[in-house]
Amino acid sequence: MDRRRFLQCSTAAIVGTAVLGACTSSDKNTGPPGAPPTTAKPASSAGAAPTDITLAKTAASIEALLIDAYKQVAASRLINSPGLQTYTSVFADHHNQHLAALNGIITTTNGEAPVSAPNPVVQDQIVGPALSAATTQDELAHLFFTLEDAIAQTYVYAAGAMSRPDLRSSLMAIGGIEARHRVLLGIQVEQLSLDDLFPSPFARSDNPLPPDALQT
Amino acid sequence: MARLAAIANWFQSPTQPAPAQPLPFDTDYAAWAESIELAMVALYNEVLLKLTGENVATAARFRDHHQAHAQAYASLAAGKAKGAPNSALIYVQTPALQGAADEATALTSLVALENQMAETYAYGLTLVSTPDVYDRMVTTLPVESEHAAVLGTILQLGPPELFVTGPFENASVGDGTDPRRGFDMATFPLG
Repeated sequence: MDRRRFLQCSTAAIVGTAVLGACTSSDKNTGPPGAPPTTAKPASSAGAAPTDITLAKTAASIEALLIDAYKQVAASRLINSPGLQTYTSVFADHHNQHLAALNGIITTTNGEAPVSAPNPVVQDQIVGPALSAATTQDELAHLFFTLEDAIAQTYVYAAGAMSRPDLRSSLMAIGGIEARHRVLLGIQVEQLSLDDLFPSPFARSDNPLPPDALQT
Repeated sequence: MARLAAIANWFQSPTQPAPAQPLPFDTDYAAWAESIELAMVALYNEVLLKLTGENVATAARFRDHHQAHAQAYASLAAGKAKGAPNSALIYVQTPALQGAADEATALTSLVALENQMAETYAYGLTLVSTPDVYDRMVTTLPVESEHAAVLGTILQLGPPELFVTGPFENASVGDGTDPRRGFDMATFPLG
């Protein structure tokens, strides 16, 4: 299974780290070498493209999810590696600032309430069970690599679907940093090869989230 | 009532319809993006001579990514792409790379260049409105950010250097001297 489809795994498939591994162990690009990624515009269940506010709220809810997950991991004391401890601390701080920036868009541009709760669909179906099942540092590191991989792709998907240049830039100012998180965990923790980390010269842009994870 | 709701929604999120044809500025930008990507290819070729072991393969892979990016931008440039490296960028950057005394210095220069490429596209996204062009920038930027991070791990950089602009890519450009700012089209014109 493609690693980046991780967040579309079924609830049953994600419970238990053995199955988690099966859900994320293959990241080979099934397309032709060097093929550009798909750039199909996203569609909601109603068939219409999601609005800017939907995309911003969804991204914010995923940021809140990661903040919460990193907090749980810090409290669990399962991570002993100083390097990984540093990364989790720095990345959690980044996600806090990303959430604040997204809430600035949500409240200022759209006049809606800020997002503070983790995405309920991804939390309940995927991350909650996976965090409960993880008992070792390696399992947690693998989960966080997968989450950072997915959120990086979420920004590529969302930025391409935004209607305004300033919003596309704002999202990719965040998305580039998430991509750095992804590759740092991939190299230094997951010890992935460059073939695994760069299946194509271009980032993928399809939606890695379950369809009902969009926050309207 | 429905019309009122539509107007209210427009004010809250004023969608700008995508142009039916690529805008002239956007095809100019794609041609320019091709030129800076080809400059990166040339600059990597300069640095390859100073690298050893696995670092050669890593740099060659990243160089090939820039070649692929250049080809993609050229295809969006409506015939304006010149198929040549950006001469101003080559002029400014080559002496430092040629003068790098050791492998670490050469890699440090590449980290700075990759950071600047990411900042260039973060800023460029504020300028363009043609979907094919901004879609390509959106899928290019993270890869160039990742190049900087991978090269940073070779140098064993810590978080302050791995995230030189902090928690956000910096959507601004300059004259190439500040590694936290991208390349300005006015300073590095096509040609």
